[in-house]
Amino acid sequence: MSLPPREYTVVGAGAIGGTIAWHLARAGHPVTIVDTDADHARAIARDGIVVERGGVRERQPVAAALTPEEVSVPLRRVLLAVKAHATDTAAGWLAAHLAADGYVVSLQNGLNEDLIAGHVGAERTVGAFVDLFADVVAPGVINDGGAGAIAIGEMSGAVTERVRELAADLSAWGPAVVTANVAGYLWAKLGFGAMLTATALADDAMGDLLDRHRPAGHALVREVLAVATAEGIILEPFDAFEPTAYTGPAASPAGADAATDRLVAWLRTQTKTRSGIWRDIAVRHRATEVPTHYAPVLAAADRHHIDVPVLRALLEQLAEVEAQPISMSESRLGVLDAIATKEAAR
Amino acid sequence: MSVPAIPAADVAALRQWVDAHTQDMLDDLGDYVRLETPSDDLAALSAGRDWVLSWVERRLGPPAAIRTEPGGAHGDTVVLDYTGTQDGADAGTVVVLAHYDTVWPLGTLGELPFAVDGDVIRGPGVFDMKAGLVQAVWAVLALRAAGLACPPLRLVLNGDEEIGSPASRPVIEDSCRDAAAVLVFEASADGAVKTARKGVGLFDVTLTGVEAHAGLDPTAGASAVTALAEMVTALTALTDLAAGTTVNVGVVSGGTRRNVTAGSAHAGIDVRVADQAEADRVERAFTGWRPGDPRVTVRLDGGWNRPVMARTPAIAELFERARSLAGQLGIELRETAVGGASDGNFAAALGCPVLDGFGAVGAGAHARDEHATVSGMVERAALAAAFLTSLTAP
Repeated sequence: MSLPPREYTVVGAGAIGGTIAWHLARAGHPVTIVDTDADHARAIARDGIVVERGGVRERQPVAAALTPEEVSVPLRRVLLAVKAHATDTAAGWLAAHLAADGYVVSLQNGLNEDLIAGHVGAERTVGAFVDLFADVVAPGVINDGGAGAIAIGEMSGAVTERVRELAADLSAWGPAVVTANVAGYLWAKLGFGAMLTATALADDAMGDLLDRHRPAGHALVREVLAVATAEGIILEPFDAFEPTAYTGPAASPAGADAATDRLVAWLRTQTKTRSGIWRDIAVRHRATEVPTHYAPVLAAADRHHIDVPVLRALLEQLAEVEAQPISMSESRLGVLDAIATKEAAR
Repeated sequence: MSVPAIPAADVAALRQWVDAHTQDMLDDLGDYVRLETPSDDLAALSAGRDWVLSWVERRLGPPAAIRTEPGGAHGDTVVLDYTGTQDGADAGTVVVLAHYDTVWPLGTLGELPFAVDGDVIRGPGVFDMKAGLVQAVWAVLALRAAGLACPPLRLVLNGDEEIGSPASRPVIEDSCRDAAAVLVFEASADGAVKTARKGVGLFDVTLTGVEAHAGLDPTAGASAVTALAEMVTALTALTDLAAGTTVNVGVVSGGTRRNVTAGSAHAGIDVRVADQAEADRVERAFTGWRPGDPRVTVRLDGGWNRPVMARTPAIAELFERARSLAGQLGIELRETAVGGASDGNFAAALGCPVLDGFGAVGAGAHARDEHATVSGMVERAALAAAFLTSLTAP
């Protein structure tokens, strides 16, 4: 290995945390897992982390796997990968366990950096955008569906030694870059995520549903991105998603349609036809992270007096589907289309 | 709920044996997929049926009984009975439902040939549901190889599932009536088996009014089209998304000429419901609806094409059994209520314990990206074998 080994602590060994821990450990870094599920932690301590790629399972031992109570030494490099609704609790715990010169990087979906900084201080918080296709298929077994990208950056936008090191080490997983604009990626993902969330209201392929329900999809992106723009965010493209096609001076209905064509085509190339949100609702029967992800968006919309009717309708419908998965129906996207069309006519 | 585990060594042996026969399973699946079987092509369906019969017989030997029910305008339904092994013969009959038709028109194979690329298997109908039948057959072979007990089996193979099983429905109901368990080897939903499914209603409404000259004698007529407009609004309003109910008036027609009060009108309606109470509510509203003009008469045709499959205690028990055995195989088996209807709905409506979606792992049913996985075939064939033998335990 060309890089010196560095100690990492991965808090939360789900799809994101498990995948990253597996790749870091495989590259020779001493990785400690911390997970609140004692059985899960013990299974990893005993068997390591198992990653499944193309039907082949590979086992990778880690230096240690502990529950939060078992952690005694101050932590230096912490990769936080818990679900967004667990961020507050996890960051509170980290405040008591983080070394003075340590840091926490949020490898999560949603806008978690401010909440983390509130507990451990802005100077010990590093932002990150994670675009990773992985899924926990059995306890301790993660299906690695391939690498999208990771972008890491200081909250201040400065390029520091620690983010450079981090990007270099995370390259063991896939494309990891340093950015001065983490927020631009995170907000863009929230825009894209709103469209994908809408597809979880029905039981059909993401690409097909998005293709058939463009009024809803486009309105959702525009609502979220309008809030981002009011927040002073410069949006960043990622994967096949081009935010500037939907909002800003270069946006046009034809341009948005063309961008959605490309997005739909890309979604249709993916082996996974359903979203992780759909899976949470239909298969895992658990509450999704979506309300947590969009709470800061709704708060910012209120601050800027921006109407987000389609987003609000989406969140209401999602709560209904979470309560009763069998009530998934494409008609729900039709309802969102109708709201979007009515808004557009105003 | 306590579920009898089967010895770990037996589970491991089944898994190992299936694993060692992965290529044989893929070869069988390849042969099966290369024979296209679209629901609307009788010649292709009968060739498909013949192949399936000879293949099952080649693999499992001649059945104790075989019954072919002609499908008329649709594919035939074949029912094969296999006696259980001596130590499993006392167990109740387990029915395996597996349709051999696909939604893919003849010639799809040219654009979407059968191919195995790493873990991914492609081809028309691999996921829905040709891999499922191959898994079921190899599960039985695995039990025989391991010397484990197998219950009496009844394979019900129909060729009209994708168009709603019009011809096979009575055969399926007849075959399932005395079943100890009904296993539907339809594709899983993201790996999850289906323990509840929506009911589907297909209704046709014909309205008959009184024709008259709309300009010369406007009050003499009774417009079926006006009544249709009232009806569309009234019936569509029965939709209750939170309850899982949708009512879609998808097709309308009516009237003859611009200046004639319409004497007839027609609507084609699709209804989906998540439970029987909603089915009853919708049906009451349909039969009770009357037009504003009493001179217009209403005829309601059609009905519940697929009844609601509710998660009964017996279905929950089957799932619990499968989940526990899957755990022994290192699989976390989940259950789901989403997805369209299947032949499992018919069996469930008779009160049979049904486990649906017990077939392929993959995605893209009815879509271009349809695929099943090799690992899923191995895992689910081993699971099906463990499940079948567990049903012979007292």
